[in-house]
Amino acid sequence: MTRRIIMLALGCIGIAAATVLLLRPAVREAPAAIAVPRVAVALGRIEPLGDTITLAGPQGNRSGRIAQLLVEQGQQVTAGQALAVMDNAAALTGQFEQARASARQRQARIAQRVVEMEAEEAALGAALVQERATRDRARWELERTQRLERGGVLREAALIDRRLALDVAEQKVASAELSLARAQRRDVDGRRLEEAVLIAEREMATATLAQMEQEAALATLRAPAAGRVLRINTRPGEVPGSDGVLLMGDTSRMRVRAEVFESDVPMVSPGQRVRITSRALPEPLHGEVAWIGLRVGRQTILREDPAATLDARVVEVMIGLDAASSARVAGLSGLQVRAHFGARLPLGWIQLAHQPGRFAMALSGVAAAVTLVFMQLGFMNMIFDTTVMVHRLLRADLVLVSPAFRDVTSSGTIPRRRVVQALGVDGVADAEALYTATRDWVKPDGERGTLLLLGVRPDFAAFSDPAISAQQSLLTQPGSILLDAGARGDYRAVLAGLARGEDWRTEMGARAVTVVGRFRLGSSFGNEGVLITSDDTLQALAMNRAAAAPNIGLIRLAPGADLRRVQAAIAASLDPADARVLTHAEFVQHTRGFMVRNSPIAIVFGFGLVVGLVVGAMVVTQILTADVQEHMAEYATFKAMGFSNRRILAIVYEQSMLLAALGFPIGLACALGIYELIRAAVAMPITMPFARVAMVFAATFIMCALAGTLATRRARRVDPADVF
Amino acid sequence: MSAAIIARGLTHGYGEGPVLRALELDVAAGEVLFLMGPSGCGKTTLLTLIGALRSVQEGQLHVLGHALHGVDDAARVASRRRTGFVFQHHNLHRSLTALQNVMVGLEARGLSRSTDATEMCRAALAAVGLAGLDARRQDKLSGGQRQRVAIARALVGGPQLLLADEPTGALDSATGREVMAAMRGLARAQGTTVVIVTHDPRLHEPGDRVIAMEDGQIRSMERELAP
Repeated sequence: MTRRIIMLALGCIGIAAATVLLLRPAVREAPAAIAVPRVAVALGRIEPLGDTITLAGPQGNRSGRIAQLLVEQGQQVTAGQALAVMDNAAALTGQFEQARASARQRQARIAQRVVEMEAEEAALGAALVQERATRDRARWELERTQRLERGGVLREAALIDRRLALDVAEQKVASAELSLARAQRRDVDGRRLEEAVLIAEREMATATLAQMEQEAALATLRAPAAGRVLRINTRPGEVPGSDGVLLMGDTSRMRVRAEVFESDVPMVSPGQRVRITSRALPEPLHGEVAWIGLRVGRQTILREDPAATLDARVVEVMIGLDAASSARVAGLSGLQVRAHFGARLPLGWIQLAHQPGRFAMALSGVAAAVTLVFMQLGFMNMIFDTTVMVHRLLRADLVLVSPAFRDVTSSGTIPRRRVVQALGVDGVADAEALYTATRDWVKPDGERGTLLLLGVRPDFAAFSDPAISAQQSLLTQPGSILLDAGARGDYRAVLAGLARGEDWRTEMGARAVTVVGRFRLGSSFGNEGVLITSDDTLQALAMNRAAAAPNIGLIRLAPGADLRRVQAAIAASLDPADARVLTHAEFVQHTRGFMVRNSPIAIVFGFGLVVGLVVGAMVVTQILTADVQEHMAEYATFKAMGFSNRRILAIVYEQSMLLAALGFPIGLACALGIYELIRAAVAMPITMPFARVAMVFAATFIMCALAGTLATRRARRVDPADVF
Repeated sequence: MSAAIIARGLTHGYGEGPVLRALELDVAAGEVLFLMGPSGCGKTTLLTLIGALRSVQEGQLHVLGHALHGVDDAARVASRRRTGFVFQHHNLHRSLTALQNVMVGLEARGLSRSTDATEMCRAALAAVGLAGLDARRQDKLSGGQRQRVAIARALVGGPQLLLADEPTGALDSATGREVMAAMRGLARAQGTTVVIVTHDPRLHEPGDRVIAMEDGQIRSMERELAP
């Protein structure tokens, strides 16, 4: 990976150097050295900025022929304006008027019936009162006749007549009450039943009336939006076809839909000014690229030349015309035109390259910032990486650690029986204890050095490095040790001797040890390197170590075993007070996370990173501001000539982006060189992952963009009148 | 002949009283007009207003058929693109070659996209007598040559109006005449209306209109006659 990145950086520098050489300002007067814009030409069509509207005729049984056209081609219309009248308009209007008269008549009848019903109800009420009075009179007559009959004044026949009269009167009262009750009956809305029926009939008629009104209105075609009539497709007497009655659109702003050859697309960018020409136009139009299509398609606008390519691959580019140009072609929608694109003069580049000293200083500033940032990130990650170096060397699917575990030098111990216990869990193929200790030994030069000692049963392949596994059998001999060839210190003679098959004897504590083999890992901030030995030798060298209290348990699963399930099963069998089980990835992340959270390393190096970016931004800002200041007169002249403010600012941004693009590979190359020096000097792993390159690349552009923004403050204030 | 410039009641000031006072002016298309007068009489202010470099404060101004009173910045930028400028000091970009400087004029007008952009610029340089000097930067050109590059830059792409502020002011008389001849030649070939602010009456030719300004108003206006 590192080699690839070095090659990439060298490639970038090569490209940057080639660019500088190819595009540098001509010092000789050779015409070939002049940087002039390349151009691209594309065919296009003029159309309204808003979508065009095809106005269709009425559909279904309302369709008919056009009776009257109220507008002309090219006429500007407002929203809702009548455009055409269908030949059935009069009939539909007549039907509507007839229905409206009928509705009015129905309304009057309802009013009349309500009055009548109110009168009938009043009459029935009065009749009831009268019948009740008659009944009361008949009842009084009967009672009087009964008294007289009991006194013998009247005969029984008279009594019968009176009783009969009362019965008749009571029946009439009941009948009158019934009639009144019927007349007073109401629906849920409190309306008389007949009135409710009449109102329902009226509402139905009103709905029909509304429908007829709508149909009559549709017979007059109206503009759905303001715009201009672009084309009339149906004349009076004709039935509208599939292309509708007319085509209209908003022509207050026009645009050009151009088809740019795919090979020319890199020369087109949003905001770019475009010149539009046509044989039909005495003067060119002007506009700006609004957007560039995302799809490559087949050419649809063809040249008149019969030999022209017919199946070219093109990308659609939309060009917004300026107000003056829009006004000139408002009536020419569909006109075929040629759009002339081209690269602008690379003014930013020319200005930078014209002053090589300043350019070099700016590039140095960016490169220094990039290098500084890479160094900060490199150191920070080196510290984090070295703390998990041994973790990654261990070959295990699951790891048993103490609850107090932080890293291999501060790991605490676990009961060995937990490792044995794990062997009993279904899915576990093998498990073994690993012992760690930090011990001093005498180096070949007689100095003492501190190394991390790892002890494991020699017949257990505990390490991912095959070179170690191949030599582990040598560790069965007590006092045998494998040496880390990447350990800090001068072990060249020892390593040379090992290559010749000669062991090296030295002292560790008060005991003699023999280096019988080698592997390569590297040193860390905490120790100068790593030694590997057997568990028995480690316990002998670290006098207080008990075999029952290893530091780490290494567990490997049987093929096909589910990692999470086995982890859960082991965890269930553990006492959380003395051991916990982690996957290998969790084991690495545990220590790395602990370092990130509990050490000031990230903060210290993060601060250094910010300082690097700020310094870089300040350098670029100073350089660009000085450049803007120096070119104020030129910028004022450009503005006086018609450059927009945006074009002036683009010059400054172009410079800042160039500095980012050219300064970054230089900084990257410097950082890679320094990484290599560090690796050689301190034997610690410092790497350049691609993600870091990408992150710093982005940060460099952001830094330069920010510097460009600050530098444009002066450029914004340039007054074109200052040229006088 | 249609009017290229129409000014009605044009009044403009900088806080210490008006520099232009209700000025009225009509310039026909294709005409060559000289503005003369003492320093502070308002001729440069008038030029900057016609060139859309300043906003019109009071009155009405139409240039090439477009109103410049009551318009926004975008309209003024658009007007400037239709106009060529020649300044007393050439104001060439020191980092650019002669050809690139002319190209800037074309780009300002949105014309550098034309397929024949380079040829147009070379032709403009040739028209002012600088054929073959495309790749020279300003430090390798004489004062007269620099001003000719500025003229080529102003007239490339055929603007309908050329505004010149003391175009020969920094040149000796012989070079000034050459520069003036180059400017007239190119402008005449393109039918460009020319407005020149100058103190030098020797630049006038028969048919030119000469306006004398004083205290922000036109004091006299006369047509140069043939000798």
